Amino acid sequence: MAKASSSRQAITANRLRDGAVVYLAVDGNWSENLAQAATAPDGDALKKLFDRAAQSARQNLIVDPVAIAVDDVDQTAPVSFREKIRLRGPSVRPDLARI
Amino acid sequence: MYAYDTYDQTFVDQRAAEFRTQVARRLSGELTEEQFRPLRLLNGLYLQLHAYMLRVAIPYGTLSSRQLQALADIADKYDRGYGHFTTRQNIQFNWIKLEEAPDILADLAVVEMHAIQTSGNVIRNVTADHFAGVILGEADDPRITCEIIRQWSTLHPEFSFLPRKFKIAVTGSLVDRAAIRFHDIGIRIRKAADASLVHDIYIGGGMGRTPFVAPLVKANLSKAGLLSYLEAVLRVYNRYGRRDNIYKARIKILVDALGVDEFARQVEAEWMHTKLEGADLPEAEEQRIRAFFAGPAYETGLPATPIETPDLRETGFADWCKTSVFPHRVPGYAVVTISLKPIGGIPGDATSQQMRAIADLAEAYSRHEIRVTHEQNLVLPYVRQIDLPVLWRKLACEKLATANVGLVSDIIACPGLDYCSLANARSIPIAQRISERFAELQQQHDIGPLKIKISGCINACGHHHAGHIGILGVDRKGEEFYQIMLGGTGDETAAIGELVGPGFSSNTVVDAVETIVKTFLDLRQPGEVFLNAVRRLGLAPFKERLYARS
Ligand code: SF4
Repeated sequence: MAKASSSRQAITANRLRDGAVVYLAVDGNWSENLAQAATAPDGDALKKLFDRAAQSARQNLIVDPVAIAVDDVDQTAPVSFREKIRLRGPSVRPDLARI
Repeated sequence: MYAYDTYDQTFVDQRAAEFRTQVARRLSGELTEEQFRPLRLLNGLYLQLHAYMLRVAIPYGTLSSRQLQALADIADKYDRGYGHFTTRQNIQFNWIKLEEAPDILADLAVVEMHAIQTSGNVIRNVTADHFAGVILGEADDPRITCEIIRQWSTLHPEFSFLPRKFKIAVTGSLVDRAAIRFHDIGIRIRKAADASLVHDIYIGGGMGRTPFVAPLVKANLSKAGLLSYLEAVLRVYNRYGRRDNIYKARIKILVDALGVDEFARQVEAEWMHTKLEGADLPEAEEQRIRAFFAGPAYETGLPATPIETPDLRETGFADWCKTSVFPHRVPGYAVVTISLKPIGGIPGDATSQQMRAIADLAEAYSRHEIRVTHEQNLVLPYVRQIDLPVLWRKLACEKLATANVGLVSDIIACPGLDYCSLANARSIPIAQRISERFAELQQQHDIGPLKIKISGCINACGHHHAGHIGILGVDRKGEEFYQIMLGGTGDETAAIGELVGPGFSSNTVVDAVETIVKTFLDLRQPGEVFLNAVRRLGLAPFKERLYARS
């Protein structure tokens, strides 16, 4: 299987009050939907996103923000297996799937 | 069972109230995440892949019906209707909201439960043989020692910031069901020649990155000197344990570095001091704690076997008796293990409905008591033989009568990458697929005792080093890969499994397990069990078959 190519990243974190998986959205809010996430190539634009995430952490909205690679073709799909599971929910409980 | 006194209850209530204020301060921003993290971990609250996870302590794996009911209520009210029993005899809830965690601790406190000592660099919840107090040939009920250690260790000011976490397991039997030699301290209680109780103390065992089988450091320790001796061990560890390197911080590394003799000498020297400091328990206090574990008043004159009816002969009752029913020390009674490993199921998971059903069954047939095993099953310790058929039928209604305890589909699996933020690979789907591959019960009985244990990373929560077949998930260039070890065991012949060769992809690992089992079936001698065959044959024939095709 061809590996997904990725040149863009999104910022993900867990929401402080309930731990839910969230993504930094284009409007600056945090969304549970990766499709709404802002993405940027490595560099200044990504650093800006990360600064915004750090500010949200200081405002006690989220914890542990990190940048994750997203698929170039389908930007609603993370590249790493771990992030796919975070996005969808446990693979062994499809009944609890988020998407 | 141990019952809280006012001191215990006040402590747990206060702790829940204190956590409520800490959470409020975190949510308001008064505490940063950095400041708050150690406080939440002190109360068993982790942040995992999908949400917060709360690990609730089940001291030495003993639960009352009322407590299990309360856990079912928590699963429904605050989680998603299920919980996961762990290899440390605890339960984890996977979908906890931080803002609700204080309410859960308050609910737990009502039933004399908490989440203390389930995380952090402290003496963790002490584990025990799950057949404690009911199995034949036991020198003493290990839970008495566990409870004494719990009271001594909880909030012990000297041992609240150890170099790393510290795990103690206790058994009172020669047959080791508690894997004592894979713990920081393993305690075996024995009867000495003069019939007094003595302890053999094994120190420096563990799994993880550097597995060790604990050596015997002190034999024949008298009951009266136990706490001062443990205090001396912890003090030496606290003083010399490596705090500079997380991978070298466990006591096993210290024991290995010093050598057993030198480590033992240092502990003996320290013991001279701790003995004088009054750590040991007065006899009267020991007797007070012992009284809680006297067990129920047993009926006498009960039939020694269940009454066989024609419908029982037709169905799977006999198979279930073969694997799930164990001899009780009192005639007319049985110890029943409830498999939490349905074919294709998630090892150790129980729904709230199943928890309530088991709590009800324990109330009706097991004097309100349940045990949690480190193999992620549950036990009813006081079942009358004559009640076995009805109990079996009721368990079957809840899909809790799988007759596979100790067999190839009774697999230990950690949460792995489906839940755990430290994981490299998934464990649960591998367990599910293996159990489906060997679903046919007659085949499982033919294969005989076989323990498969799976971890999703080197931390080894799934005890892969101690599996007859151990499976370790690794990340190879972003793909899940699985290493296989053979010949490990956590029993009284404790051994670390040996790596069989290069790893397998998630697509091929189940085939590899099947190849190993087939090789065993082809080469075994009459009556030989898997572990003994691996010991006799070595890895060579398994390697040959596994890698011949590649
Ligand atoms: S072994 Fe690793 S993956 Fe499994 S529960 Fe422990 S830390 Fe998580």
